[in-house]
Amino acid sequence: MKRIKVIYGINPHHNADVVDEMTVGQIRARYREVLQIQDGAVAIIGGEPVGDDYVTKDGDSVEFVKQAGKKGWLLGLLAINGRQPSYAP
Amino acid sequence: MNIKCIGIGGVGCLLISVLCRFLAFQSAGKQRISITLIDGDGFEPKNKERQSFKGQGNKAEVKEEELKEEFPQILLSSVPEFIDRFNIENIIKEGDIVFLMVDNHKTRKLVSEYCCRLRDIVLISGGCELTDGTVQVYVRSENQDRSFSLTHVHPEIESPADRSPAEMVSCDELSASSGPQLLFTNLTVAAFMLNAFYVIWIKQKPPYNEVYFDIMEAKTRVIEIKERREERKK
Repeated sequence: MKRIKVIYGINPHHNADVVDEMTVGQIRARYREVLQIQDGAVAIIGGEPVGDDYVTKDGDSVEFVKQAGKKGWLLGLLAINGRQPSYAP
Repeated sequence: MNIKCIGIGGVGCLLISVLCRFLAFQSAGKQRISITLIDGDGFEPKNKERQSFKGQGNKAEVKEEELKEEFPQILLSSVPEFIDRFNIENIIKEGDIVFLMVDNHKTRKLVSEYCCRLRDIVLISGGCELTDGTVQVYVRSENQDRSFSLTHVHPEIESPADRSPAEMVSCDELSASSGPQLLFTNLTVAAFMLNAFYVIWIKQKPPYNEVYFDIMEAKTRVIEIKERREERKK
Protein backbone atom coordinates (compact mmCIF):
# COMPACT_ATOMS: atom_id res chain seq x y z
CA MET A 1 0.00 0.00 0.00
CA LYS A 2 1.24 3.51 -0.76
CA ARG A 3 -0.13 7.02 -0.36
CA ILE A 4 -0.38 9.55 -3.17
CA LYS A 5 -2.12 12.89 -3.70
CA VAL A 6 -4.60 13.42 -6.51
CA ILE A 7 -5.27 17.00 -7.67
CA TYR A 8 -7.62 18.48 -10.23
CA GLY A 9 -8.30 22.20 -10.61
CA ILE A 10 -8.62 23.95 -7.28
CA ASN A 11 -10.29 20.93 -5.67
CA PRO A 12 -8.75 20.00 -2.34
CA HIS A 13 -6.00 17.44 -2.61
CA HIS A 14 -7.33 13.93 -2.23
CA ASN A 15 -5.01 11.76 -0.24
CA ALA A 16 -5.43 8.35 -1.68
CA ASP A 17 -4.27 4.99 -0.45
CA VAL A 18 -3.54 2.96 -3.52
CA VAL A 19 -2.29 -0.50 -4.10
CA ASP A 20 1.17 -1.10 -5.48
CA GLU A 21 1.60 -0.96 -9.24
CA MET A 22 -1.36 1.41 -9.67
CA THR A 23 -1.01 3.42 -12.84
CA VAL A 24 -2.04 6.99 -13.59
CA GLY A 25 -4.77 5.60 -15.86
CA GLN A 26 -6.22 3.54 -13.02
CA ILE A 27 -6.12 6.56 -10.72
CA ARG A 28 -7.80 8.65 -13.41
CA ALA A 29 -10.60 6.09 -13.69
CA ARG A 30 -11.03 5.90 -9.92
CA TYR A 31 -11.26 9.68 -9.44
CA ARG A 32 -12.96 10.68 -12.70
CA GLU A 33 -16.38 11.12 -11.11
CA VAL A 34 -15.50 12.37 -7.66
CA LEU A 35 -13.16 15.07 -9.00
CA GLN A 36 -15.06 15.55 -12.28
CA ILE A 37 -11.90 15.09 -14.30
CA GLN A 38 -12.48 16.08 -17.91
CA ASP A 39 -11.74 13.54 -20.64
CA GLY A 40 -8.25 13.93 -22.04
CA ALA A 41 -6.87 15.93 -19.10
CA VAL A 42 -3.08 15.60 -19.12
CA ALA A 43 -1.54 14.12 -15.95
CA ILE A 44 1.59 15.64 -14.45
CA ILE A 45 3.75 14.43 -11.57
CA GLY A 46 6.33 16.81 -10.14
CA GLY A 47 5.50 19.16 -13.01
CA GLU A 48 6.30 16.57 -15.64
CA PRO A 49 3.66 15.16 -18.00
CA VAL A 50 3.21 11.42 -17.65
CA GLY A 51 1.22 8.89 -19.61
CA ASP A 52 -1.63 6.75 -18.27
CA ASP A 53 0.70 3.76 -18.01
CA TYR A 54 3.04 5.53 -15.59
CA VAL A 55 3.26 3.55 -12.34
CA THR A 56 2.89 5.80 -9.32
CA LYS A 57 5.27 5.80 -6.38
CA ASP A 58 4.61 6.39 -2.72
CA GLY A 59 4.39 10.15 -2.11
CA ASP A 60 3.62 11.12 -5.73
CA SER A 61 1.24 14.03 -6.38
CA VAL A 62 -0.74 13.29 -9.51
CA GLU A 63 -2.22 16.47 -10.98
CA PHE A 64 -4.70 16.33 -13.82
CA VAL A 65 -4.50 19.63 -15.70
CA LYS A 66 -7.84 21.31 -16.13
CA GLN A 67 -8.74 22.45 -19.62
CA ALA A 68 -7.78 26.03 -20.38
CA GLY A 69 -10.53 28.60 -19.89
CA LYS A 70 -12.19 29.33 -23.17
CA LYS A 71 -14.86 31.92 -22.62
CA GLY A 72 -18.15 30.65 -21.33
CA TRP A 73 -18.67 28.17 -24.12
CA LEU A 74 -19.60 25.09 -22.08
CA LEU A 75 -21.84 27.08 -19.79
CA GLY A 76 -23.25 28.71 -22.89
CA LEU A 77 -24.45 25.32 -24.03
CA LEU A 78 -26.14 24.79 -20.67
CA ALA A 79 -27.85 28.15 -21.01
CA ILE A 80 -28.99 27.28 -24.53
CA ASN A 81 -30.54 24.13 -23.10
CA GLY A 82 -32.38 26.21 -20.54
CA ARG A 83 -30.23 25.17 -17.60
CA GLN A 84 -28.70 28.08 -15.78
CA PRO A 85 -26.07 27.40 -13.10
CA SER A 86 -27.68 27.72 -9.68
CA TYR A 87 -25.36 30.55 -8.73
CA ALA A 88 -26.07 32.65 -11.82
CA PRO A 89 -27.70 36.00 -10.97
CA MET B 1 8.20 48.20 -26.42
CA ASN B 2 5.68 46.82 -28.91
CA ILE B 3 2.52 45.35 -27.46
CA LYS B 4 -0.21 43.52 -29.38
CA CYS B 5 -3.61 43.08 -27.76
CA ILE B 6 -5.66 40.44 -29.57
CA GLY B 7 -9.36 40.35 -28.65
CA ILE B 8 -11.03 43.49 -27.31
CA GLY B 9 -13.92 41.88 -25.43
CA GLY B 10 -14.75 41.46 -21.77
CA VAL B 11 -11.16 40.76 -20.73
CA GLY B 12 -9.55 43.00 -23.32
CA CYS B 13 -11.49 46.15 -22.39
CA LEU B 14 -10.51 45.81 -18.75
CA LEU B 15 -6.88 44.92 -19.39
CA ILE B 16 -6.08 47.55 -21.99
CA SER B 17 -7.26 50.53 -19.97
CA VAL B 18 -5.18 49.50 -16.96
CA LEU B 19 -2.17 48.59 -19.11
CA CYS B 20 -2.24 51.99 -20.82
CA ARG B 21 -2.49 53.82 -17.50
CA PHE B 22 0.41 51.84 -16.08
CA LEU B 23 2.67 52.29 -19.08
CA ALA B 24 1.78 55.94 -19.67
CA PHE B 25 2.95 56.97 -16.23
CA GLN B 26 5.42 54.25 -15.17
CA SER B 27 7.59 54.57 -18.21
CA ALA B 28 6.81 58.14 -19.26
CA GLY B 29 9.61 59.35 -21.51
CA LYS B 30 11.81 56.35 -20.75
CA GLN B 31 10.91 54.34 -23.80
CA ARG B 32 8.58 54.41 -26.75
CA ILE B 33 5.42 52.41 -26.08
CA SER B 34 3.37 51.12 -28.99
CA ILE B 35 0.12 49.25 -28.47
CA THR B 36 -1.84 47.70 -31.32
CA LEU B 37 -5.41 46.56 -30.76
CA ILE B 38 -6.65 43.69 -32.92
CA ASP B 39 -10.29 42.58 -33.24
CA GLY B 40 -12.57 42.03 -36.22
CA ASP B 41 -15.74 42.21 -34.16
CA GLY B 42 -18.15 45.09 -33.63
CA PHE B 43 -19.48 46.23 -30.27
CA GLU B 44 -22.93 44.85 -29.51
CA PRO B 45 -25.17 46.56 -26.92
CA LYS B 46 -25.91 43.14 -25.35
CA ASN B 47 -22.31 43.13 -24.09
CA LYS B 48 -22.51 46.49 -22.35
CA GLU B 49 -22.65 44.90 -18.89
CA ARG B 50 -19.06 43.70 -19.37
CA GLN B 51 -17.57 45.88 -22.08
CA SER B 52 -17.03 49.60 -22.20
CA PHE B 53 -17.13 51.37 -25.57
CA LYS B 54 -18.02 54.98 -26.17
CA GLY B 55 -19.59 54.31 -29.55
CA GLN B 56 -20.71 51.77 -32.11
CA GLY B 57 -18.29 50.33 -34.60
CA ASN B 58 -15.35 48.01 -34.76
CA LYS B 59 -14.09 47.30 -31.23
CA ALA B 60 -10.40 47.82 -32.00
CA GLU B 61 -10.98 51.11 -33.78
CA VAL B 62 -13.42 52.53 -31.23
CA LYS B 63 -11.16 51.59 -28.31
CA GLU B 64 -8.11 53.03 -30.06
CA GLU B 65 -9.84 56.42 -30.40
CA GLU B 66 -10.92 56.36 -26.75
CA LEU B 67 -7.46 55.55 -25.45
CA LYS B 68 -5.68 58.02 -27.73
CA GLU B 69 -7.55 60.85 -26.05
CA GLU B 70 -6.70 59.68 -22.57
CA PHE B 71 -3.13 58.49 -23.14
CA PRO B 72 -1.44 60.62 -25.81
CA GLN B 73 1.95 59.37 -24.53
CA ILE B 74 1.27 55.96 -26.04
CA LEU B 75 1.43 55.22 -29.74
CA LEU B 76 -1.89 53.46 -30.33
CA SER B 77 -3.08 51.75 -33.48
CA SER B 78 -5.71 49.22 -34.46
CA VAL B 79 -6.26 46.34 -36.85
CA PRO B 80 -10.02 45.80 -37.45
CA GLU B 81 -9.60 42.14 -38.39
CA PHE B 82 -9.73 38.75 -36.72
CA ILE B 83 -6.25 37.26 -36.59
CA ASP B 84 -5.82 34.33 -38.97
CA ARG B 85 -3.10 32.44 -40.82
CA PHE B 86 -3.11 35.00 -43.60
CA ASN B 87 -2.53 38.15 -41.54
CA ILE B 88 -0.64 36.84 -38.51
CA GLU B 89 2.80 37.59 -39.97
CA ASN B 90 1.82 41.21 -40.44
CA ILE B 91 0.46 41.52 -36.91
CA ILE B 92 2.89 39.67 -34.61
CA LYS B 93 6.57 40.59 -34.96
CA GLU B 94 9.85 39.62 -33.33
CA GLY B 95 10.21 41.03 -29.81
CA ASP B 96 6.50 41.72 -29.33
CA ILE B 97 4.60 41.30 -26.10
CA VAL B 98 1.29 39.68 -27.02
CA PHE B 99 -1.81 39.69 -24.84
CA LEU B 100 -4.14 37.03 -26.22
CA MET B 101 -7.73 37.47 -25.02
CA VAL B 102 -9.80 35.50 -27.48
CA ASP B 103 -12.74 33.16 -26.97
CA ASN B 104 -11.64 30.13 -28.96
CA HIS B 105 -8.87 27.53 -28.86
CA LYS B 106 -8.37 27.56 -32.63
CA THR B 107 -6.93 31.06 -32.45
CA ARG B 108 -4.87 30.16 -29.34
CA LYS B 109 -3.28 27.30 -31.27
CA LEU B 110 -2.59 29.50 -34.28
CA VAL B 111 -0.93 32.23 -32.23
CA SER B 112 0.96 29.81 -29.98
CA GLU B 113 2.42 27.86 -32.88
CA TYR B 114 3.36 31.05 -34.70
CA CYS B 115 5.09 32.44 -31.59
CA CYS B 116 7.05 29.19 -31.21
CA ARG B 117 8.74 29.94 -34.53
CA LEU B 118 9.95 33.39 -33.48
CA ARG B 119 13.26 34.20 -31.81
CA ASP B 120 11.99 36.54 -29.07
CA ILE B 121 8.39 36.77 -27.96
CA VAL B 122 6.24 37.07 -24.85
CA LEU B 123 2.76 35.56 -25.12
CA ILE B 124 0.30 35.93 -22.26
CA SER B 125 -3.01 34.17 -22.91
CA GLY B 126 -6.12 34.31 -20.75
CA GLY B 127 -9.52 32.69 -20.93
CA CYS B 128 -12.41 31.92 -18.65
CA GLU B 129 -15.67 30.13 -18.20
CA LEU B 130 -18.39 31.69 -16.07
CA THR B 131 -16.56 31.66 -12.72
CA ASP B 132 -13.16 30.08 -13.35
CA GLY B 133 -10.34 30.61 -15.78
CA THR B 134 -6.74 30.15 -16.82
CA VAL B 135 -3.78 32.34 -17.68
CA GLN B 136 -0.85 30.82 -19.60
CA VAL B 137 2.54 32.45 -20.12
CA TYR B 138 4.86 31.54 -22.98
CA VAL B 139 8.24 33.27 -23.17
CA ARG B 140 10.85 32.67 -25.83
CA SER B 141 14.14 34.54 -25.93
CA GLU B 142 17.26 34.12 -28.06
CA ASN B 143 15.54 31.23 -29.83
CA GLN B 144 15.07 29.31 -26.57
CA ASP B 145 11.80 28.46 -24.85
CA ARG B 146 11.73 29.89 -21.32
CA SER B 147 8.34 28.28 -20.63
CA PHE B 148 6.03 25.90 -22.44
CA SER B 149 3.71 26.74 -25.32
CA LEU B 150 -0.05 27.02 -24.86
CA THR B 151 -0.59 23.57 -26.37
CA HIS B 152 1.96 21.67 -24.25
CA VAL B 153 -0.35 20.03 -21.68
CA HIS B 154 -3.58 21.13 -23.33
CA PRO B 155 -4.86 18.71 -25.95
CA GLU B 156 -8.02 20.83 -26.23
CA ILE B 157 -5.84 23.63 -27.66
CA GLU B 158 -3.55 21.30 -29.62
CA SER B 159 -6.58 19.77 -31.36
CA PRO B 160 -9.27 22.44 -31.06
CA ALA B 161 -12.84 21.37 -31.66
CA ASP B 162 -14.03 24.91 -32.27
CA ARG B 163 -13.62 27.41 -35.05
CA SER B 164 -12.02 30.81 -35.04
CA PRO B 165 -14.21 33.86 -35.68
CA ALA B 166 -12.44 34.32 -39.00
CA GLU B 167 -13.83 30.93 -40.10
CA MET B 168 -17.40 31.56 -39.01
CA VAL B 169 -19.76 32.21 -41.84
CA SER B 170 -22.50 34.26 -40.20
CA CYS B 171 -23.08 36.79 -37.45
CA ASP B 172 -25.52 34.35 -35.84
CA GLU B 173 -22.84 31.67 -35.62
CA LEU B 174 -20.41 34.18 -34.18
CA SER B 175 -22.93 35.33 -31.62
CA ALA B 176 -23.95 31.79 -30.60
CA SER B 177 -20.35 30.64 -30.14
CA SER B 178 -19.91 32.43 -26.84
CA GLY B 179 -21.79 31.72 -23.65
CA PRO B 180 -22.71 33.82 -20.62
CA GLN B 181 -19.86 35.54 -18.85
CA LEU B 182 -19.28 37.36 -15.65
CA LEU B 183 -17.50 40.69 -15.42
CA PHE B 184 -15.75 39.68 -12.20
CA THR B 185 -14.23 36.60 -13.85
CA ASN B 186 -13.09 38.72 -16.79
CA LEU B 187 -11.52 41.11 -14.30
CA THR B 188 -9.66 38.28 -12.57
CA VAL B 189 -8.25 37.03 -15.88
CA ALA B 190 -7.14 40.56 -16.76
CA ALA B 191 -5.51 40.99 -13.34
CA PHE B 192 -3.53 37.75 -13.64
CA MET B 193 -2.42 38.63 -17.17
CA LEU B 194 -1.19 42.03 -16.02
CA ASN B 195 0.48 40.46 -13.01
CA ALA B 196 2.37 38.12 -15.35
CA PHE B 197 3.37 41.06 -17.54
CA TYR B 198 4.67 42.97 -14.52
CA VAL B 199 6.80 40.03 -13.33
CA ILE B 200 8.28 39.60 -16.82
CA TRP B 201 8.94 43.35 -16.99
CA ILE B 202 10.71 43.40 -13.62
CA LYS B 203 12.42 39.99 -13.55
CA GLN B 204 12.82 39.30 -17.28
CA LYS B 205 11.47 35.79 -16.81
CA PRO B 206 8.04 34.18 -16.72
CA PRO B 207 6.40 33.99 -13.26
CA TYR B 208 4.83 30.63 -14.04
CA ASN B 209 3.70 28.56 -16.96
CA GLU B 210 0.07 28.53 -16.02
CA VAL B 211 -2.30 29.61 -13.28
CA TYR B 212 -5.83 28.38 -12.74
CA PHE B 213 -8.36 30.23 -10.56
CA ASP B 214 -11.93 29.88 -9.36
CA ILE B 215 -13.64 32.97 -8.02
CA MET B 216 -16.40 30.97 -6.32
CA GLU B 217 -13.81 29.26 -4.15
CA ALA B 218 -11.46 32.27 -3.95
CA LYS B 219 -8.63 29.91 -4.84
CA THR B 220 -5.81 29.81 -7.34
CA ARG B 221 -3.38 27.13 -8.30
CA VAL B 222 -0.12 27.59 -10.16
CA ILE B 223 0.66 24.62 -12.37
CA GLU B 224 4.38 24.08 -12.73
CA ILE B 225 5.36 22.15 -15.80
CA LYS B 226 8.68 20.52 -16.67
CA GLU B 227 9.94 18.31 -19.45
CA ARG B 228 8.37 14.87 -19.82
CA ARG B 229 10.02 12.41 -17.47
CA GLU B 230 11.34 8.98 -18.22
CA GLU B 231 8.35 6.86 -17.40
CA ARG B 232 8.18 3.90 -15.09
CA LYS B 233 5.96 1.54 -16.94
CA LYS B 234 4.52 -1.78 -16.00
